[in-house]
Amino acid sequence: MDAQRGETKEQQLVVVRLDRERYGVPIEHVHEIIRMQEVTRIPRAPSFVEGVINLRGQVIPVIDLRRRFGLAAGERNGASRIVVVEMNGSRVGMVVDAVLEVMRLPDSAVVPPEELLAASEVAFLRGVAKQGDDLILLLDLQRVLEVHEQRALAELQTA
Amino acid sequence: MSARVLVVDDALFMRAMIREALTNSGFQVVAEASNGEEAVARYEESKPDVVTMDITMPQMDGVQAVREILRRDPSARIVMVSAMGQQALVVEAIQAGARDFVVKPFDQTRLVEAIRRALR
Amino acid sequence: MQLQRLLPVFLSEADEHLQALEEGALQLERHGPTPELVAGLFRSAHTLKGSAGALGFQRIAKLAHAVEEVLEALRAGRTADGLADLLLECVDTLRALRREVSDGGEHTDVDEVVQRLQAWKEGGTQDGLHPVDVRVRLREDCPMRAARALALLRMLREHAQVEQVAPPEDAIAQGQLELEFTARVRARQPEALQELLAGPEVESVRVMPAWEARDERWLDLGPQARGKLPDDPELTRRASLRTVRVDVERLDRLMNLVGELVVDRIRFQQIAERLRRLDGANGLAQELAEAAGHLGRVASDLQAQVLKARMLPIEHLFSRFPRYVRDLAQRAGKKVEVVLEGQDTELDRSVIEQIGGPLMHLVRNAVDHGIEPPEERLRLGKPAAGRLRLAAVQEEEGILVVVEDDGRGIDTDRVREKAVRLGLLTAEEAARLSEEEAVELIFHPGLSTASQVTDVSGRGVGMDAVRAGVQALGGSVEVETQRGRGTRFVLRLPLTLAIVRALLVSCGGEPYAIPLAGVQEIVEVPAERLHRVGSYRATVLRGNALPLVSVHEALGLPAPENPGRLLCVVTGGRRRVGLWVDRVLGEGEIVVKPLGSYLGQVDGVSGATILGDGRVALILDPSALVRLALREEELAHVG
Repeated sequence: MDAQRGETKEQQLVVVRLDRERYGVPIEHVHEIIRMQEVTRIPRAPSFVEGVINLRGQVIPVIDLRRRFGLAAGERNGASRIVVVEMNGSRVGMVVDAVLEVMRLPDSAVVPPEELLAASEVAFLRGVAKQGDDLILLLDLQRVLEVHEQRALAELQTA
Repeated sequence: MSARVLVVDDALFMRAMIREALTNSGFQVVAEASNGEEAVARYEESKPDVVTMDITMPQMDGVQAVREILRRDPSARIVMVSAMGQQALVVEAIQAGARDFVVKPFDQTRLVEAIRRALR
Repeated sequence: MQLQRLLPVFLSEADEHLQALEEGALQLERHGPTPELVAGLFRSAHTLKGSAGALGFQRIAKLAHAVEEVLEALRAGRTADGLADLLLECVDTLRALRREVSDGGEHTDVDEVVQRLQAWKEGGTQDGLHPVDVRVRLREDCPMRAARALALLRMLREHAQVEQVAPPEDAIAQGQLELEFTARVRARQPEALQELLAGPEVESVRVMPAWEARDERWLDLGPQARGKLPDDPELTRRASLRTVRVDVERLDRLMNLVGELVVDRIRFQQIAERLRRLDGANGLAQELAEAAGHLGRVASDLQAQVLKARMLPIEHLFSRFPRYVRDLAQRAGKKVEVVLEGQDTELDRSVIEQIGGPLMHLVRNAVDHGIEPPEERLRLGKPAAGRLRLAAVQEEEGILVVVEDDGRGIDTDRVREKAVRLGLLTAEEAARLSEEEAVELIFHPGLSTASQVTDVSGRGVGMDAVRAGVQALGGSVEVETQRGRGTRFVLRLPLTLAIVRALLVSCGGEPYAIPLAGVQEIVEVPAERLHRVGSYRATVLRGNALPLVSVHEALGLPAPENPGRLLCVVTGGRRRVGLWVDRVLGEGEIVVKPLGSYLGQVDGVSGATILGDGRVALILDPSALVRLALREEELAHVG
C-alpha cells in the first residue's frame, strides 16, 4: 500500500553502518530488520554468503555486506542486525554492523558517486548524499544482490 | 379532421414534392422549415400532429432537431426522411425518439403509410 | 445393493449441482437473468431431480422439481425479483438433505419451501400481462433493416413491456441484423401486436405464447451438445473427459502405501546382507541390493506423483466465499463486493483444507471490522460497497494467498492500548513500537482484536491461531495495513507438502538431513578397520572398499577435528561412500523447503528443512555427495 509513489521528490532510506561508513538502503525494498541469529552455512558459497536462516518458516539466504564490499570481517555484537530486503520476488538478508535510523533525503541532495569517490569504490553505489559533515552512500541493491555474478563465482569455486 | 403536418427539408423541391403528396392524401400541411432551428420554431408556433424531418440539414441537423422538439413536447411524432447510406443517423434519430422513417427516393404511398403509422 | 454403489457418485455430483445453483443464484442477483444463466440453472436442477428420483430420494426430487418450475417461469418472462434469496434457501435445504441421505435417509421437510416457490411462481402473472414472443421477419428489400427493426421495437414498447430482444438491441443499433428479430414481451393484448407491427417492409409477424417458444437457444441440450455452448465455460469444464474422479481416501491410501515402499527398501537391503552372509560372496545379494535401490527411487517418484495428484485448484476453496461473504455482509448490514483472482492456482489438498479456517477468519474480520457500513463509506468518499479481494498467485517458492480489503485498516493505537491493558507491554514500550511492530501485535495470543466467539471449533479464534495454522503448514502470514485505506494479509504457502522421510544426523555440530531413499545403512567402524588408501581413508564393507569422507569434506566445508564414529553409507547409482557423522539424531518426516534462486544450485544440497527447534538443516543429496566425495578423492589422487 504505497502512498508515496512518485508524489514527492525525496527518498526514504534505512541508514546502516558498516565499519565506519554509513550506507542507505531504499526503504521500499526493506522487508524487515531482525537481530542476528544462528545461520546455517551453505557449502561452496561465495565468501560473502553467510548461509541461510529461518524467517518465520521461510528459508532465506543471508549475506555479509562487509565481505560483499571487500571489507574485513567485522565483529558481531548486540548492535549487529540482518536487514531483510526484497528484490525481484526474492528475499535476502544482509548483515550490517548496526542500523542507525530511517531518513528522508530530498532527491536534490543526491549526487552521482563518481563525484565524491574514487572509481574503485563506486561499484555498488547509485549515489552519494552529504549530510552535514557525513556522507551517506546509497546502495544500488540490484548490484549488491547481483545473482549471476555470484553464480559465476560459485561455479569458479566448484571447478 | 385531417391531420396537420410540418414539413422540414432544406431542399425547396423536396418540400414541394412532399407537400403535394400529403395534400393529395388528405393531410394538411400547416408549415414548412428549411433547417433544424426553423423546424423547432415552426413546431412551437403551429403545434402540428406530425412532422416530416430531413436528416441532413445545415444549422442543426435532423437528429438534433428531433431532440429539441421532443424536449419541448415529449409527445411529438416525427418521421425521418433520409437518403440511402445514412442508417447510422436514422438509428440515432429513432433512439432519440423519432417514430418512423422513409428512405429516398420513396414513393408517395410509403410516405403516407409512415405518417399514418406515426399518427396511430 | 445398487444404491451403495451409486451413492458416492450421486453425492459428489449433487455437490457440484448445488454449487452451480448457488453460484447461479448469486449471479442472478447481481446481473439479472440471461438465457444462458437460466438454462444452466435449469439443467442443474433437472439433472439433480433425475438422479435423486432414480435413487428414491423423494424430497430432493420434489424440491428440485419445484425449482425447475420456477426457473421455467423465469424463462417464460416472469421477472426475477426476490428469486435469488429463495433459490439460496432451496440450496441450503438441498444441502441439508444431501447430508442426510449420505447418512441414511431424508428428514428435512420440503413442503414449506415448495409452497413458497409455487407462490413466487404464481405471483408473476397476476398483473394481467401475457408473456409472448414476437418474431418479426423483414422483407428482403427492406431498406435500413436495423433502423426499421428499431423503429418497430419503439412501437412495440408503446404497447407492451419488452423484456428481451434477440439479437440484443445494442447489436441491432450497430447494424448487426439479418432479417429476423425476436422480442420477448408482456402484453395485455398479444393478439393486437401482429397488426401493430405489420407494414410494407415487414414480411411476417409471429406472436407465440412464451412457453411454447421452444427455440434452440432456450432448450436443454443433451450431453452430446455439451461443450458447444460457447458461453458456458462451467459446462465445458465439467464435461471434459481429461479428468477422472478419485476418492480422496484412495489417494491418501496410495500415499501411505508409497511411503511404506520407501521404508521397506531398507529392509530389502538388510535381507540382501543376510543373504550374502549365507551364500558367501556371490552376486545375488548385490543384485538384490541394486534392485532394492531402484525400487526406492521409483517409490520416491511415485510419491511425488501422488502428491501432485493431490493438488487442487484453489477455486475449490475460493468458491465458497461469495456466498459466505454475502451472508456475513447481510448480517452485518454492510455491502461487500468479492473479487476472486487466480482461481486455477493449484495447491496440495491438505493445504487447501487447512487454510480454509484461517481464510474464513480473515474474511470474517474484514467484513465485520475492516469494512465500514455503507453510509460511513460514502461519507469518506469511498464507494458504498466494500471490496474484498481474495487472490492466489504462484511464486517460485510457493503460493501466495492474499486477503485484502479497502476498509478502515488496523487501528494501531487501539492495538497498543489493548496490549498495555492486557499487561503484555508497558505503556512506554507500546509507545516505542514502530507501526509495523504494533501491527504484528495482533498475532499475539491473548490479543484478539475481534471479540466474538463465533468459531465452530470453539478453539482460540484469534489471529494467533491463524498464524499458527499457517505456520504448521510450513507457511507464513504477513500483514500490511493503512489507516483508512484497508488491510492486506499475505499467506505464503508451500507448493506441496513436500514431505520426505529422512535421516537426521549431526556432523561437526551441525544438523543435516539425508533422505532415507539414499541411505543404505549405518554402521559403526572401529579404528582397526580403517585403512589408508592413497590419501583417503577407507574401510572394507562386505569385501568391497568403501571410501570414507566426512560430510564437511564432501561439501567442501573445512573438515572438523574428529570426524565422528558413525558411518552413514549412502549410495548414488552404483557407487557408495561412507559419510562420517557424529550422531544420528533420528529419523522422521521433514518438510522440504527450497533454497531459493539467489543461491542457485548448491552442489550436494537439495534443499533445507526447519527442525523442531527452529534451526535450518540442509538436506543433503546422496547421489551428489557420492559424486563430490569421489571427485575430491580423485582430485587429491591426481594432485
